[in-house]
Amino acid sequence: MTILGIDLGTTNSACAIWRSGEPTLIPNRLDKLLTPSVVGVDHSGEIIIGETAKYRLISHPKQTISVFKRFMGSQQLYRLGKKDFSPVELSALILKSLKEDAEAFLGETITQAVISVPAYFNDVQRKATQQAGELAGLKVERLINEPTAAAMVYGLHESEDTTQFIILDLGGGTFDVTLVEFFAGVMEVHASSGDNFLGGEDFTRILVEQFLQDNDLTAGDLTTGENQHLYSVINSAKHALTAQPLVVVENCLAKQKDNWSLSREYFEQLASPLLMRIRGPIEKTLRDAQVTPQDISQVVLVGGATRMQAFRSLVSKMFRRMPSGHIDPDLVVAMGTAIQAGLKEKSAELKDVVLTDVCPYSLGTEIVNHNDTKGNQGNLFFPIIERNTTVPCSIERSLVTAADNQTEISIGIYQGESRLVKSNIYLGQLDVKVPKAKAGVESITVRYSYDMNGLLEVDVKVDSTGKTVHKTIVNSSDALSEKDILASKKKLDQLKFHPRDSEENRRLVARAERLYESALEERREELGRLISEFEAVLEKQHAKDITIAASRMSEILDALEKDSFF
Amino acid sequence: MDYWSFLNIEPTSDTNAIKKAYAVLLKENKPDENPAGFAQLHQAYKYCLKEAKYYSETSEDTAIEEAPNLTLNLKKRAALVNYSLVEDAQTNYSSQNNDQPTQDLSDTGLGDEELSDKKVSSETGEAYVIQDYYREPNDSNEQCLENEEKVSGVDGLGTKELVDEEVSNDKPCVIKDHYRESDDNSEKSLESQENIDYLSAEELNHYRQVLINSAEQAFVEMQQNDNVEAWKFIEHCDALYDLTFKDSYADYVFEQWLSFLEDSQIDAHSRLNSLHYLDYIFDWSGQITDYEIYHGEDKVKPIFDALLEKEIIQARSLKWFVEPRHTGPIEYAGYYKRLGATSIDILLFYIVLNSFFAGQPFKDTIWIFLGVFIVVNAILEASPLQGSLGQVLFDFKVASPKGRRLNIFHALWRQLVYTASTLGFKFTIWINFLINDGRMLHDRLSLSVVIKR
Repeated sequence: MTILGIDLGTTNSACAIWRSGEPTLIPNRLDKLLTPSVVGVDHSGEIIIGETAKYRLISHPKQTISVFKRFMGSQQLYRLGKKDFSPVELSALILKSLKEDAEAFLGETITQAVISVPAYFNDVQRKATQQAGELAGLKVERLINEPTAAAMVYGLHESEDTTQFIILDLGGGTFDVTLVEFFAGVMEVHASSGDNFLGGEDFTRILVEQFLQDNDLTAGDLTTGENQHLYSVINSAKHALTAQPLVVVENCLAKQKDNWSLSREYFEQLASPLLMRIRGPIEKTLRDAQVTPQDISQVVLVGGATRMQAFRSLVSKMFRRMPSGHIDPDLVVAMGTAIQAGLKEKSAELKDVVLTDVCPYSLGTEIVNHNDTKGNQGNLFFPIIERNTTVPCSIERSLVTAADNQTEISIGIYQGESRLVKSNIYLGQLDVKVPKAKAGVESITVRYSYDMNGLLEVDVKVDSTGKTVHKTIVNSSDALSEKDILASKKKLDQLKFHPRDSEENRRLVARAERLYESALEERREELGRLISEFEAVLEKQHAKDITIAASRMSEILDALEKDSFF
Repeated sequence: MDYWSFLNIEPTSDTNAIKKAYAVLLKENKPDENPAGFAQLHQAYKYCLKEAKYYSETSEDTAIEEAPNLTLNLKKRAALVNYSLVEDAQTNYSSQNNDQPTQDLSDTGLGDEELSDKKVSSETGEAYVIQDYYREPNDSNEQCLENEEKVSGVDGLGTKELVDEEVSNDKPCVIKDHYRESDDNSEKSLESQENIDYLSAEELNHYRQVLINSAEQAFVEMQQNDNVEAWKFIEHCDALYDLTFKDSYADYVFEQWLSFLEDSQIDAHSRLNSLHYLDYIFDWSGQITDYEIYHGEDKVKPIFDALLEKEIIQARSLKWFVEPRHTGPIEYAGYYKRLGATSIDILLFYIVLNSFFAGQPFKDTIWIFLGVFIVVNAILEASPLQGSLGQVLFDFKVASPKGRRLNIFHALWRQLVYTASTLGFKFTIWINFLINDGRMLHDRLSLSVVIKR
């Protein structure tokens, strides 16, 4: 039974399996290892996923959606064609596509998966990810924290006795810091910290804003298509900046006044608020684990955004050494999920490898704040599982009634680090009845159990009556009910997907259309002609002709793309 | 239970032995196969590691034990400093000056010998922490530069020990190799990215002076107003990339704030922007316990109270966003406050309608009044406001028991039930008093709740 390891990323997703003693990455239908996490719909209502959809972001901005992972576990809905989709459903579509690719590659059906999530994902977001797996027809055997997955790849062949790694994972939308220790086959995660709303996309956004400002424009002056186009141009400028010190953006928009040059120094200056935010979680992790940068033997970079020169120089300044990123930072998480899949399959090569992870945030309940006489502080947060406790763990605390003749105790379940519950994240609530008595006489025992997947269960026992109440945390406002899941499943099953075999040609058309959108004047006409010619060939359905036309088309597009923006 | 025998080893201060024993047992108690066994094992492991640390600390340095009330902070700080002289100096210093942590360095227990050894000038005595930390890079700087070729990955800020260790382990070379590999993998330009600047002795001295002077200037500014810009220099100081140094500077600035607030009698609340900015940079509130233990809870209270209050304001204002569902705990609105809210509503309606139908007989207006009251309130409760004017003023909102906003028919039904139960006031008031669990009769009948926002 093969378990599929999946890295479900903000910008890109990838999958891998454990084969003959090492992680093996699985190419998608376009023979690429990365599948962009973009979902779109075409005029006939068929669903398009991955690179084809990514190209359509510019030509069909209203029928294409990206970066939805940021809203996992929220109520956000996206309109795609005639239907509304939740982030969970969109993620399920990506997972489904990856699953199909893997099934085609392996020639067997896959029903189980290990999916990676940012370490700092909260309970609600984890549940949402699990549900996305279910919707895609995958039983999620394990949710693994992304930096932990990456650490496994680097640590698998670590032979030294006791070494500490720090893993900095700056993805498209999230930033995670994890400290891992390796000894005798044990990978022990010590501390984890992060920022759920900080990633490569934020850097691009800052550049886009600056570009607009420098050209006396606002986002409102541009059409959706132009905005998307600008975003992708600036994004590739940002990428180009890792290879060259200066990038000039010219003729990107009709409304652009002058050439816009972006130097590394300028970039660093613009990004300085974001770079400041990156320092916080790193410092917090080191402080929590009582470790100095000198104790760390390797700084590992994960996630595409760690390629940014500004990020790398920040890290080398903080750790006084060069970070290692010799395994492709975009793929390392997928490889790690495959190792976890291997562990789950009880693979013989991994017999002696054990991984222990931590809970990256504090989980607790609320207690009455006696000092709060004015009523503006609210109840206090009472941590039950402290942050960075090794999981699985199960911790008990006793609580007593706060008022005379209290008949009910409601246990609010919160996640966070603040002293006041108001500033922490609410996960759910559980009510128990207690016999009437003086304040402080009746007591209850609250047990929080946090499992390997990062999911929380709460048990409450009333000490005097022995009555127990159990709750698996399902956030009152966000979780889907059984019925909702069935409905979503039905909705996704009804969707038509593009046939796998024609994907390559569709991608070419999407790519040409994107170029068409951004090109001007003569080039635009030329491209228009090209596209209609190619589509005419496609309609005739002569396999041989199509192959020839496709290869010619891709050559032309390559040439055009090369000298387009820079 | 004896945790040591659980791990099958004798009590020891050798952490590696503990880790080995743990690793062996772990193979039989894997966390996903035997969670209970793992939890027990891990508890034993953590306990033994803690014991081992205690053993090694007590044998090496008894000074920490002598100042138990400072242990937490000192241990933490000591862990951050791998330079024993500094550690001793701090321990001596703190243990003898529990009451006056900001006292001038020349009055501390440090011997003259040590002082001259470390070339600490006493004129900037308050800055003892910085000077201590600053000294070591200066000492090791030359060595570091000597090793430049070999350890080009290590910055000049590296301490002596760091450099030695790194060279002996050949670590930097290994890292370099990885780098070459990645270069081959067409990850170009990585090489050119690694231009870590070496800081010379002069530069370091310069940084120290600049930081202290800038802080002084900022405090002059603080006397006048709460200008965050005054502190922005911190973002541009490269020396603060050194975490050890940054932490010590954080402590220094914090102490300066304490004495600044004390001397100037300025309320911390009026300098909230600056404090909040510094907290963001230094994460003071994340280390609140350490500061409380070190300086005394009462002394640090003004600063942390102010910082916490900011948090409250944020939390409160957030509640005013329109949410599709109520997030946060469901707290029922109190009886008397609800009575107040209803009174305000009735009063408002009375005033408005009375001015419209001034001349009409009372018997006619009462029906109009009721009709308008029901419809308008239903609309308000079904709107994103989620409450009548009185309820909004009292920070309540009306929702379904699941926290959702009511639709207009649900809200109308609620208002009808409400009116009906108010008409039978004499009867319903007793029901409401007897049940008294935050939900009134009309809430129950209309399946809705009135909760705090």
